[in-house]
Amino acid sequence: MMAADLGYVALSLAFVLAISSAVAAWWGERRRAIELILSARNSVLAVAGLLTFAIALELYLLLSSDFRVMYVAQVTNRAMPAFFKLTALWGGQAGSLLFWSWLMSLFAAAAVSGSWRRAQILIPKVIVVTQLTLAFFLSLISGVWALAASPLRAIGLAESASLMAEMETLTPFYQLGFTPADGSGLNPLLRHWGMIIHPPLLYLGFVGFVIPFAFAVAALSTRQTSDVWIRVIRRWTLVAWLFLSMGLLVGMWWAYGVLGWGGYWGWDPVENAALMPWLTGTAFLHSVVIQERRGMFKVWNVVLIMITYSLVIFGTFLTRSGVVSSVHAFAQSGVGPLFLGFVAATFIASVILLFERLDSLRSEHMLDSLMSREAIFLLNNLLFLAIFFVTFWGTIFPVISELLAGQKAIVGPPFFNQVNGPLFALLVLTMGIAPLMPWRRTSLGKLGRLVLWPSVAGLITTLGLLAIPSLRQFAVLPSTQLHMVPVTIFYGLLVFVVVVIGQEFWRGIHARRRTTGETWLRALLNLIGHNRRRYGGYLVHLGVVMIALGVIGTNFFKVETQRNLSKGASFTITSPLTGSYTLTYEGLNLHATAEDVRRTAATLRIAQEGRFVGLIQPSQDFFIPQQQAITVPAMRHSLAEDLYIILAGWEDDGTTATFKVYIEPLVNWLWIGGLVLVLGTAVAVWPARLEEHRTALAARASGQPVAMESS
Amino acid sequence: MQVFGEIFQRLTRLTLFLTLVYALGGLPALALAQEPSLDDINRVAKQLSCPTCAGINVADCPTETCAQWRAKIGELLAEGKTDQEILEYFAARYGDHVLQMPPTRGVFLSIWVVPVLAILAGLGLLGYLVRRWTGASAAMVASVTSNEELQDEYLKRVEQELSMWRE
Repeated sequence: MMAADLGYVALSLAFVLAISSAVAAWWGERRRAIELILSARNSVLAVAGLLTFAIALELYLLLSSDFRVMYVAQVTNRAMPAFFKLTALWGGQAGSLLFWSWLMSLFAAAAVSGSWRRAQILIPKVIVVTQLTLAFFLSLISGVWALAASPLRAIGLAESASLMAEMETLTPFYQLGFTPADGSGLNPLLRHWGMIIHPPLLYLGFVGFVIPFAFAVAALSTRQTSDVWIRVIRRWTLVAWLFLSMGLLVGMWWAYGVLGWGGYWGWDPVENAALMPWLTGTAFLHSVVIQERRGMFKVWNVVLIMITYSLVIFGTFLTRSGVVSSVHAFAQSGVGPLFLGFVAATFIASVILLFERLDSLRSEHMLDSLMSREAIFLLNNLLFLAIFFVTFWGTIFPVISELLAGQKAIVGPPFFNQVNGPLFALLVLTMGIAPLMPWRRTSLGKLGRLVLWPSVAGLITTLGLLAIPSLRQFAVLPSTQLHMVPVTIFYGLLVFVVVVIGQEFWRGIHARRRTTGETWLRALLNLIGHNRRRYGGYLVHLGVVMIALGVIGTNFFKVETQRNLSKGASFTITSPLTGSYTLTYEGLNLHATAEDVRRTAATLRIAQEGRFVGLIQPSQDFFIPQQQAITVPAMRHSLAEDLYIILAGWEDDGTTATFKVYIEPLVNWLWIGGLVLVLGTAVAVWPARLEEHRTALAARASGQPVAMESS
Repeated sequence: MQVFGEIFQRLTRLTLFLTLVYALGGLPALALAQEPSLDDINRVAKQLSCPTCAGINVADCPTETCAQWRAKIGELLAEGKTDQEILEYFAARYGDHVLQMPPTRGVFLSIWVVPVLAILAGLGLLGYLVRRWTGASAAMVASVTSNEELQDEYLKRVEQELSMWRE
């Protein structure tokens, strides 16, 4: 049991070091003692080292199937392949908290050593914030709270005392009094590569947003509220946003491919928990540009990053405990109150700090006109926050209604779709207009000239779709009149945005060619290369348009049916886009796909427009150790749509079987758009080349206004 | 006793129904007595939440309870009930929280009202701030002459940067 004991020691040491590092940084700054700050920095690095060691130990325990360690017994069993044993590190609560802490320690170490020279004055407070956050997480998994049990019991709080005593079982190294023969194994739903990379991506995003928050607090508390901190966090924020976006997309992809209900987003609390910081983080990403360029909205930016930080902590907690599904579960564990207490304490502390420093956050400029990019960014921020609020309200509503009315009222997807749908549509509109709005102000005439072609294209799209039925067929609008008008308007909006983006590229390329005579391709590459953030941003917007297309297709034009077929029988389902599919049930077979998994697979023949195109096998996997059955949807992909089939049930001998069949129009544009979004963000965060730095420096030296700094 | 009451109620309803069918002369009975398809059942089941598991609708839920609910929906459809009547049936029996689309009554009213109020408040605040900012800068604006060159700040930069490169 050496390894588990060592793990305990490493976690406890890391906890103590994280706190001492925060204290040293605080005192070092007050006393202006550089040795103390240096020691704090070294502690930050040591904490990262200790946690890396702890992770290595945990992985070793998982791999060697040491079931005396409770966590290992909870998430693995002997039959699991080694790869799944490793990924079980984030398959349960204790392990994911350890994983979270490890990432946090690495990010903190990278931020502190990376910005040591550039933002030295901010470093001490960055250390304080990151290490205190880390210390909180470490307190949960190092069993520190169990120490509070006996004092609590001494003052008569027996109930809280036993809750705290139980906290000991939350450590990933907690040892049982006996060694179970086998573990219970990882939840079968999680044995999918989507679920293997989804949590790390999400956590990288979550942890990433702690760094900008730490710099914001540092800037506020030292009154260095100029643009230094904004510059330092620029890349951190983008990287955090990239990971969070990827985490969300992969999560959707997993839900679509594994959960087997023909959808990818169910607005459940866990999904919302990851979406909320993304919404406020995206708002921050946009409004921070205004502070960079115009020195405005400083208070607002600080507020946004504070909310995002709180949501990140709240989200980590929610994804791991599901408090919203039951208030009772919340009260029965010590983790919930501790988490909420921490979120509340940090939020209140940062609000107080903000109020104390309001005077240093004066705007350097006024809003010149409503016809400006500043104004449209404000609108964009309002929309993001509105969507956030609706989501937040719907997520916590069960708790509120249970407290107030004694009735736990879970809010279903229709509410979110109904309220957030139109808000998202407005967001797409601002996304289209914003790039056309210059800073400060513009005239109607100027804007009109820029908006002319995009508007014409958008209008033609909407009117054309409304007027010409054959066009509708092409655009996956079925004969149903139900959502016709809003959807055609949305199509028009999408075309508008695409033309705006195209026009922006064209204008840039044209300007380059006029002055340099470069070839089209060269001009395009240089344009992007020298203004990564701007054109990377446009690529991201293009990705968002594609995602919107997928969302429209699946939300408004999905076709579904459920059929009970006897062997040899067939039925026809008509797609809004590609004609009809005829499916014939051929039979059922049972086989083992792994040592502990039995698969029941049905075979169906697919004929499209009467022509045979292939076989498809929707199935159900039965996991013997867990006694759990999982449906495995079968899909036939195309750019136009997916044919998505679930085996819903069968008679034992396979004479009849029940299928759920979905046609998911345009769904693949969601994933393609996701890739474009990731690519665009990568373009924006890619480090600028050295020569560009030199150009910028030369420009600064010669007294010229500094050319737009890429990335 | 309640059980008997319910059975009695159902029997009366059935008698009434049969009398009505008989009175109308058989033809509509064919339409009414038709077995509802799985799709009909799912259409209604989609609008109800699983009472035991969080958030999932009855059509997609694999639990035994939901299978029973779907069977019940099938029965009610076969009786000729409309979708709305069936939803009301479940809401009256199990509470409004089994409806996927929250109704606008009771606690659920607040779920609709609060976001609307919040968004309106946000708009109001934004309007107020914008008025204050632009009002304060109006004087400044007057003194600024034409800022044509600011309009295409960016394109100008491209050229500036390029001219520097060529040197």
